[in-house]
Amino acid sequence: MLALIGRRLLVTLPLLLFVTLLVNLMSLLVPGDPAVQIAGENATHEQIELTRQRLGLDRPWHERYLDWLAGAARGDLGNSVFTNDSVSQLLQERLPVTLALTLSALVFAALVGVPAGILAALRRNRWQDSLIRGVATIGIAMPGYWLGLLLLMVFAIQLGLFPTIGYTPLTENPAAWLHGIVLPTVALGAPAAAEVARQLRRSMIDTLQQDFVRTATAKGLRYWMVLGKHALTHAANPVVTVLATQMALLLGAAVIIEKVFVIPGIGELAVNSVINKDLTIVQGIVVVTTLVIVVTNLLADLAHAWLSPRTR
Amino acid sequence: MSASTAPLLTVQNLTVEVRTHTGWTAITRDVSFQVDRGETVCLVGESGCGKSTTALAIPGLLPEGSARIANGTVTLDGQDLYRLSRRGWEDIRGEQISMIFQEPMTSLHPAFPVGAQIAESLRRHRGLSRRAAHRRAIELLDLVGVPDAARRVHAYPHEFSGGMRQRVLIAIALACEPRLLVADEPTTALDVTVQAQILDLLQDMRDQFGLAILLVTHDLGVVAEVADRVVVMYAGEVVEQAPVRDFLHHPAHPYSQALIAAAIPEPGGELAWIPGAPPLPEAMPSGCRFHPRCRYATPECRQPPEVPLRSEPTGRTYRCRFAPTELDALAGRR
Amino acid sequence: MMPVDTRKTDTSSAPETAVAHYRHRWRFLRRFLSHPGAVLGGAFLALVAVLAMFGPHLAPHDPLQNNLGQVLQPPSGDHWLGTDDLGRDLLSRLIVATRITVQAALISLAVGVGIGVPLGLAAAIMPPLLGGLLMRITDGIMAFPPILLAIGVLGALGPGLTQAMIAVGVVFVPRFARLTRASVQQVYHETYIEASRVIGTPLRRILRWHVLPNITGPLVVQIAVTCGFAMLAEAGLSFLGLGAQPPDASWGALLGRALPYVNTAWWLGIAPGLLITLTVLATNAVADGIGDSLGRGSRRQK
Repeated sequence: MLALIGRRLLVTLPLLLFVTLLVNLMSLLVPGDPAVQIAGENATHEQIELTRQRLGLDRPWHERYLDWLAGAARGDLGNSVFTNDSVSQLLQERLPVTLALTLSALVFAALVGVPAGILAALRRNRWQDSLIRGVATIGIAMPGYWLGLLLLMVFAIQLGLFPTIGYTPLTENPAAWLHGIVLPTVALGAPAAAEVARQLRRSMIDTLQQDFVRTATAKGLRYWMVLGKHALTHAANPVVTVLATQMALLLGAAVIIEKVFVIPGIGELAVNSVINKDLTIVQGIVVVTTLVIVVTNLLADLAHAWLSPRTR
Repeated sequence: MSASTAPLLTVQNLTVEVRTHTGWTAITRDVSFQVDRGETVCLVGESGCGKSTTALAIPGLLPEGSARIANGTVTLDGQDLYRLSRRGWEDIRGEQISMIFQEPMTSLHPAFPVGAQIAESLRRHRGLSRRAAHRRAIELLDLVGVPDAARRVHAYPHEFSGGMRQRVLIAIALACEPRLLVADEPTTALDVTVQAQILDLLQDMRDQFGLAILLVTHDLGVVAEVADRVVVMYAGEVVEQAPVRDFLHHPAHPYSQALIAAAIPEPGGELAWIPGAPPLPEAMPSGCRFHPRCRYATPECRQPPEVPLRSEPTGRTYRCRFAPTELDALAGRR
Repeated sequence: MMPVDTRKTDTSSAPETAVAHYRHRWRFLRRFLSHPGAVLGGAFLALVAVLAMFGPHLAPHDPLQNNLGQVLQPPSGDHWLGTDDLGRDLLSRLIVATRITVQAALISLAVGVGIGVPLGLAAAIMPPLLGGLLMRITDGIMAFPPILLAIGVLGALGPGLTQAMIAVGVVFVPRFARLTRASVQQVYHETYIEASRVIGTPLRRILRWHVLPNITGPLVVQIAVTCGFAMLAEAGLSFLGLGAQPPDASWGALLGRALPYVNTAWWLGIAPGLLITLTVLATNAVADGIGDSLGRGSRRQK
């Protein structure tokens, strides 16, 4: 198991390096002179030069990259080119909000998708199956933020069951946080739940026809043991992959959902930074999300190893 | 109830239907036979004759939704199994009736150690503690001839060969010392040398546990080696039932005769074969189902109704309008 | 003694001739038409295509005509879907936005296919070690959510639909590369192709005659599936205001513009979202239909 983690990390490090390199190379893509843009249209020549020095733009590119990398290794992702705020600081404030939303959406996807997938597989080709498959097909096609908008209209504005805007941090008031996060979680998690249900249905139908399930039944195990232990551990394998992929997609989609529900996560930060061309912040966001995705995939690999010993 | 003299297993008029694109089609019809305590009965026939279906029906393992019992009963020790609730079935399986299958490679769960898969049965039916079940699993592995059982108990199925896996499956099946073992072609997927070992093991287990075995096979060599009695099936029907010596030496039904002729070469002669193929369930011949392939067939054999089973005083039954002596006469006339 | 089934006269493994191709095409069409969902989806996509091509001529009003006396009007006889915050006719804006939406999806598809397919082809023919390495790198990109990568690229280039969709297209590259590599490898090592190489058939001929026909099927399915993804990604970016820039609008941009008025003019958010959902639904249905109708899959199901 430890060897597996080690092997994975060995593959992961070059990938992380590659991403940081890519992200830093992007600064070369910026059209025009960044120093001019940041100092402002009407800045004097001296002001522009000062800005250039402050940003280190007078040094060769690879030096800047190595500096940045050395900083990143210590957890310092540089400063915003506009406000000079520490990027690490900004991310420290914003990322937990987004991560909490994403994780709760993932939990929602599993809680809804897994039973739905199992039910559809057990009631294959009956009305329960058709219903679940139909809803899942729509769920995958529907943009989560549109669902969010509809939920907002019906449950927050019309029925007044949930707050429309105004985010409460988890640390401040967990109950209020939960109350506020329900609609965003559903909006964000619905497509993922649909994907999980579809995948689990497929793999469960496949697994139920396997010989070892028949062996488990022949042993006289209780029905729920056959289903829950023998069939599910096998059918869960592809679902773990789906969940890991979904984690990445959810992080992306969270950016949009945050806008609908006015949640102060990295989404707003990302959009504003793109509009302001604040590249250091964008770089920081991309690198940190990559890290999250890499950790997710590592966890998925561990889950796989646990679920199917042959891959160990 | 005279439990000691009544047969252990009675299959009575069993008709199993499967779902096809046109509806439900019977693939076995009125199958009846018995298995006594400690007896080994072989269920013999070509592929597709319904022997595996019959075997699966006994521990109630027919795939739900695609197969169903249309008629008949399966009785174990006086208990009508198909009146059991789902929980009732679960209490019987693995405890009274166990089953092993043709595919040892895929019949073990790939994600659990073999020991845990044996222990599971013991914990379920015997209520053993985790520790006690584990100890017993090692004993069982040792018993079925898995070397170095104390270490191998932790191994996963993919670390075992096909023969070893079948041994593990036998250990699982016998863990709770059931009274009946249904074995569906347990050696077909194995190497010839391993086949013999597994058959020896089954006979060992029968002697040790006083186990009754219903062995499904198409291999008459296996029959000759292990069977006490033989049930021959053709096209979903039982066509002959006889003690193994009678069956091998004086088969009554023309199909049994052909089977034996096809398996045992005449001295100096070629191996015989049976012309044609077994009929499909949706296109059963009228009259005797074997008549299109029978060397003795007369025009009357084609006429409905279906041929009833006849019994001899020796305990043999067969489904042919002619007695063995009459068949000999028919053969002589040609 | 076991009877041998003599009905097996399967010729499917023989090299395919023009006649066989022709017959395949008919069978494909027949199968496709037997999927009601796929046919319905195809019809809807045809409608979208018509809107994309002739949108400006079909719109009942000028989509850019402000009318400050008639802002945020609910649907009426004159404005079927109501008016937006500048009094513009929503129906007309939706119709005209179709072209931008479709264009955006096509750009990212072109990038994905244009880079992915040659890459996969190269990786399949290259020495395995090099090809494997190439695939590892694309795997890394595949782990990225399209929207985040697009945000990264837009951070450098500034907001704009074209660059956004190129970035989204980059995320699609690995999907096409993997698929191409897998399908090429499948045929490339068939005995008859190895034999063909041994007798000196030029690589281009082999690719053209044996490999290409074998990858078109899966490729078409993948394109259809990816098309849905592309639309969702475009809608998301435009919704954030990073895609289509005013006064241009895509469906996603219209949805984003409706967001501030969710309290006062809720109907503005219904039609664009519905249109996006239906189009993606249609694309997925068509993808399923094509997948089921391409010989191999359905033959395997028997």
